[in-house]
Amino acid sequence: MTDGTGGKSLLLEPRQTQEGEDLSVRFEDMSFGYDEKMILEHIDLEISEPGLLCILGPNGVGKTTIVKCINKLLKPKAGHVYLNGRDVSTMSLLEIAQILAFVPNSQQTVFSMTVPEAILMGRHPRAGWSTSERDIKVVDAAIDLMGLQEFSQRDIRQLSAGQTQRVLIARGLVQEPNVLILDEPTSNLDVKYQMDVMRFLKAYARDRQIIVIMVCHDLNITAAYADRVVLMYGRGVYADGTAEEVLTAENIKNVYKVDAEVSVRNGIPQVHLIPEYD
Amino acid sequence: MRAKRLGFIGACIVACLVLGIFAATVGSYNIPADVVFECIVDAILGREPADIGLYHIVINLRMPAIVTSLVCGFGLAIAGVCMQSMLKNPLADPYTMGISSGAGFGAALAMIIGLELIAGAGVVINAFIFSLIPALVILFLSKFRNATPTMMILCGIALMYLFNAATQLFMLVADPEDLSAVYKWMIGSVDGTSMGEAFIVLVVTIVGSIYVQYMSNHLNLMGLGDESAKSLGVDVERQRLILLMVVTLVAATVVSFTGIIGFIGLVSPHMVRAIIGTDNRYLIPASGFFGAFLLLVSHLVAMTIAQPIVLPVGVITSCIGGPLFLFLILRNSKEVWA
Repeated sequence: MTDGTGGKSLLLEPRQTQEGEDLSVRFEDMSFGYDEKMILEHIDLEISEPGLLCILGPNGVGKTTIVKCINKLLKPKAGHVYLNGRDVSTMSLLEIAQILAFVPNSQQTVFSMTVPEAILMGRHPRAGWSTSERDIKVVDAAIDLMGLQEFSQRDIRQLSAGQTQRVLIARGLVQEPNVLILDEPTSNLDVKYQMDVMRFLKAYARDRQIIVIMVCHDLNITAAYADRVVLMYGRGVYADGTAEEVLTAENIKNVYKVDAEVSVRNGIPQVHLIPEYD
Repeated sequence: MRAKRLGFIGACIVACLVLGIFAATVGSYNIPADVVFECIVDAILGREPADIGLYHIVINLRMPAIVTSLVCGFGLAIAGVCMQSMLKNPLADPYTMGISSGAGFGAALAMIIGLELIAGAGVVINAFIFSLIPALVILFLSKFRNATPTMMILCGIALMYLFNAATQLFMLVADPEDLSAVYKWMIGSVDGTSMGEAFIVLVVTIVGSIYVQYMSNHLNLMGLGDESAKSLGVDVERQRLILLMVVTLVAATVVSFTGIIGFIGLVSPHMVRAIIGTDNRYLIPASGFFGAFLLLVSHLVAMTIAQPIVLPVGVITSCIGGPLFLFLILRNSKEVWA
């Protein structure tokens, strides 16, 4: 992971704003479920400030589900989701992909593909049938940003889970999105890369003035980097605000059923989980 | 890399043309290549041929099988590469999708029972209509049961067994003459097709190939998995259904005229993948021309190996394709296949 300098800055330029553009993601009374089982009910949430927003919550609470409703990977049972003021149900997948990039947690491919080829796929929503010079420059910049130079001729199926996650993030970056969604992008990364990725995403959201939404599990990593935290529980949003407002011992106890002590250092809450022994 | 890929496609085209002319020189009566070339030029320009006898042998007797080999090889390979990419399954081809078995059943109905779906149209129409049934079942499953690519190919294999079993049942009660005809059809052959029939296959193959080539970028994205492809803007379910319909039509047309020619649809894409990689923008045309070349080589071997007897080309494609495939799997498995 490197800072944005030289050719890499190609991907770090502030987003092109158009007149009347409304950068936002909004859920309006949205519910989602499979058959009779409801996962999310009556979600009302608006994200309109550029920055890094982290979604936290226990397993199975619907963190990934809620983000997949934004780009129509899942369709809500009721209510609406708006992207830049437009109801996503009226938008084509291509229109959504021109605004929003989704970085999955993992990916498996059957046929061989080099790292640059896999990243180049992210240019599809913005590129034509053939590959332009700019597409190649943007891919090179993403490879540099994610520190993937040494794997650049490697087949992606031979990469470790952590290296694959960096390739997937790079693919999201070359989409040059205004809204970037990441589903647990640091789950397979070591501590150093977790911090690097989080620092980069925070700076990326700030410098490009875009919305970055990230599903994550680590409370302390979230507390250190998130501009806004949404804590989910019981089919909905339990708490929403800054890390200091959301990550309290009481909220952690109520949501995760775990005792914790929270201290604040330099304005950043630090969560110390208190283990239980039989 | 781009130059290598385009170079390979160019080399395949040249190989097809050269081998096409060479194949017309070979037979029970050998004709010099320059005479063959002159006959072809005469036919294209509509000129009066210098030797009407040689012209008849080259243009009316040998060329239909050569053109059929090239066109059918191209069509089967395009169908194979498209099916493998969109279903993310290296075993997908017109055979495992049930298309060939459906055609075989339709042909057997006409040959043994005498049941023709369109009276007088015989084996070809029967084979064509029945070869579409597996695809229609798969389309129905996709639409109403949200079938995944894996479910689709398993469904194709199930239908393949079903049609094969029904065909074998008919063959048990067939008289020896019909049995021989069905058996020959099941092996697949490019002999006996007319230039007009080859032209029908050519038109369907060209139209299908243009669409598949146009969708090659989408096929690349489908290789990443449905979720990734959708988040990159591809309406995966819809595109998969349209592509399945298009390549089924191509494969069904080929199979209805030639019978079941195995291995070309499966092997050609894998061989080409090992040489130029998996980018469908290049892989599709390269597989097509390589498939054409492979079927023409097989036709040439089928004609010459047991002269004066001409073997059905399907025997040769399996004999050549099998060992070649095995060799490639052992040599390139780690690089190309999961």
